[in-house]
Amino acid sequence: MADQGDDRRPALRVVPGGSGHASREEEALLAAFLVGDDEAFGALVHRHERLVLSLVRRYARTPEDARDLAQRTFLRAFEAARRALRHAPRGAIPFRRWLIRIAVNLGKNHLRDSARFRLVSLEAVDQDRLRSRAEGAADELERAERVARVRGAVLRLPRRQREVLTLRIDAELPFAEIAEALQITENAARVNFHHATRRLKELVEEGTP
Amino acid sequence: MTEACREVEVLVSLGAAGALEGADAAALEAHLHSCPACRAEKERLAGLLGMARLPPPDAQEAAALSDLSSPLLGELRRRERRGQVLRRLLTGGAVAAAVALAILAPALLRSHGPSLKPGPEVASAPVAAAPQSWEEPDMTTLWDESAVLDYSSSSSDGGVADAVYAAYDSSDT
Repeated sequence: MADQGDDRRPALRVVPGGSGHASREEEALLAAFLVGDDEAFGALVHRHERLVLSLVRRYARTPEDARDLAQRTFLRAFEAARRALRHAPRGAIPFRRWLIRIAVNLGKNHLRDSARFRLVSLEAVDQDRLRSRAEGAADELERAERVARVRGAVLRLPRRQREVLTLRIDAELPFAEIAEALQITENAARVNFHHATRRLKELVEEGTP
Repeated sequence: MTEACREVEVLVSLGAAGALEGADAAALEAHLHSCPACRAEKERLAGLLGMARLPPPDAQEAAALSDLSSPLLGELRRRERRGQVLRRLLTGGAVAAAVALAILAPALLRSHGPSLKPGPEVASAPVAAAPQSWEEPDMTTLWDESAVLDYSSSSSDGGVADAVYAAYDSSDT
């Protein structure tokens, strides 16, 4: 990574960042990117791309859709960081939290638009894959249909419940981080998760012939 | 369902997701040891959550999702340059407007001075009409559209938060 000189680097703070070491590394990478270090940018994207992709895949119709949603998530977070630093050079940047929040919101908007246009989702693609594998095997086919029903029901959960559930099962985030990203208490996150599982069960049972 | 079952029902859901540790995990285990109904419920929920999870990306999907950073970097740098040009234009425009105003203001004041005094009708009419035409916005919709980025109160700064919201609002759609 090219050294741009400490005097040019914005005096930012990245919060929260897991371990202190990881947080300091992230802070340095973000600062370096903001003064023009392209390698630092690549490292930051690489560090978070798995998290972002795991969150947006749920809402994507195709792999290309997921890629587009992930890219938009990063763009917004980086632009937000740049603008935030322009206004408050010593401000704190909760970069990972922003990424999670933006990914969840873009997913929500995408879901709304997909419902409007009745497009085929990745769920359906996955269902097709499962169906083709299950040719001739009735129990496999039945399971494939049940899986599709369950994943469809996830998208019909009330928004907050869906957010908490997907942050847990897709991104495997601890409840403390889920709470922080959604600006709710940890207990509220846990209770929402509980309600989400109950509601999911009801939705699946309602849809079972 | 017994009172003891009701007390641990949140833990059953969390346990089904493998999200418990420490005292909570021990409390649930102790209850499940003596309650076959909750044990069965935990199994059912674990199966349900297992089906809700997405499978890992296959080769085709993984290929489509690889190398996110290169096109992103190009786009960000393009936006950065556009922003710089726009800021220069705005700064230049503001300076030009200030200079023009400084030159023209005395002449304008001389030629239109008396008419700058507002008559009584000017002061009353628009102000009276405004409350009738104003409609209260739907705050739920407004919040829903704008609640993307936020600061915790401990780390927030009014100017920064505004900038962040502005960044989100002005980003691509």
